Amino acid sequence: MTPEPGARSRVHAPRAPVELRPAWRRADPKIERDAELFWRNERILPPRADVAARLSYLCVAGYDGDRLIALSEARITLIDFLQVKLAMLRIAVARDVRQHRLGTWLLTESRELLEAWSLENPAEEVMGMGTITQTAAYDGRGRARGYLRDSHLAFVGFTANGEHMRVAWFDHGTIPARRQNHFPLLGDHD
Amino acid sequence: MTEPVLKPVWQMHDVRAERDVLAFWREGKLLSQDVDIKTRLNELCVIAYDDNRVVAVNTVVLQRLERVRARIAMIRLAVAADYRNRRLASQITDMARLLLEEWAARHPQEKVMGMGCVLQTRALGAKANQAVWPRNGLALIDHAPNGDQVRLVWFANATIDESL
Repeated sequence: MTPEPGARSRVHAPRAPVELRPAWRRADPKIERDAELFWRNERILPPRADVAARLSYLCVAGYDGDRLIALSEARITLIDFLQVKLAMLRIAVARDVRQHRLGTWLLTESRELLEAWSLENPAEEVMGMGTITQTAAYDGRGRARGYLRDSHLAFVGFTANGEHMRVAWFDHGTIPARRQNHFPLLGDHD
Repeated sequence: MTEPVLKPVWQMHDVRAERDVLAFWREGKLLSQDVDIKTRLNELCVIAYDDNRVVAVNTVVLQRLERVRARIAMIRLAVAADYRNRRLASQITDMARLLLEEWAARHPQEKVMGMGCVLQTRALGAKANQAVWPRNGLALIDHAPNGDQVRLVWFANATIDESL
């Protein structure tokens, strides 16, 4: 998963050296150790975070040499208003390498990894990848785009907190033909 | 029955097309008495002819879609009963997307950011279960109160306006 600028007809390439390693459902001890250290160093974890649960969500890890500098986590979540399960993605990038398009690259690679996994595991019924982005992150970069070409993430609306919710449907993703009246109420993406 | 020919008529005010569409609506009993015909004719986007007969009509309303707080071209489609299940609706939708996206790019002051639809037909079969329609990009974003799918495709340069 070492990126090459311009590879796979992507629009954006990372502007910092990064090697992406798949972590999804691998319980890789090195990545798990590095992830926990990364979270602590970056002060990303809230005090009461369930670290074991967070480690089980690890999706893609980005390394510069032996240093973990970026991380994505995916949590399978039922999304009520769409009536499907999505892999809700969370990404974090080390402070000193932000604004280098690592996040964009991580989103794109995570989507491809999760899509391939979903195709191989149809019983999981995961139909796409979702993100919730705090709009403040776009300050200074102009308006956010409706559709992100690399990751296929499309804006689908605002959360109750005014954050952007996006969905990248997998190519094989299916949905109910109509909304069902009785659908289990779902846990929110945390 | 030959292969219908698609004709783009968006914002063209084509008198012949309008006459033929009125005949299509009248024969199909598709207009209620209280409808504003002039307004509906201004919404014409793509129509399909078989010889000299209109067999499908696509109309567009530019409106704010609250879910995404953006101005969206919401499309509707009517196909003559004897022309259904022939991919005609897909072909018209594909053309409408290209036509509207090009028009939106040439008219940025209109601030039209994408194309959407509310899926009201029950006759789509497995296509209704596809999250994204790959040819035109229409993807599920929500459901209407009655359970119908709401689909949307963003135009290439569409942006989210936080102030709206």
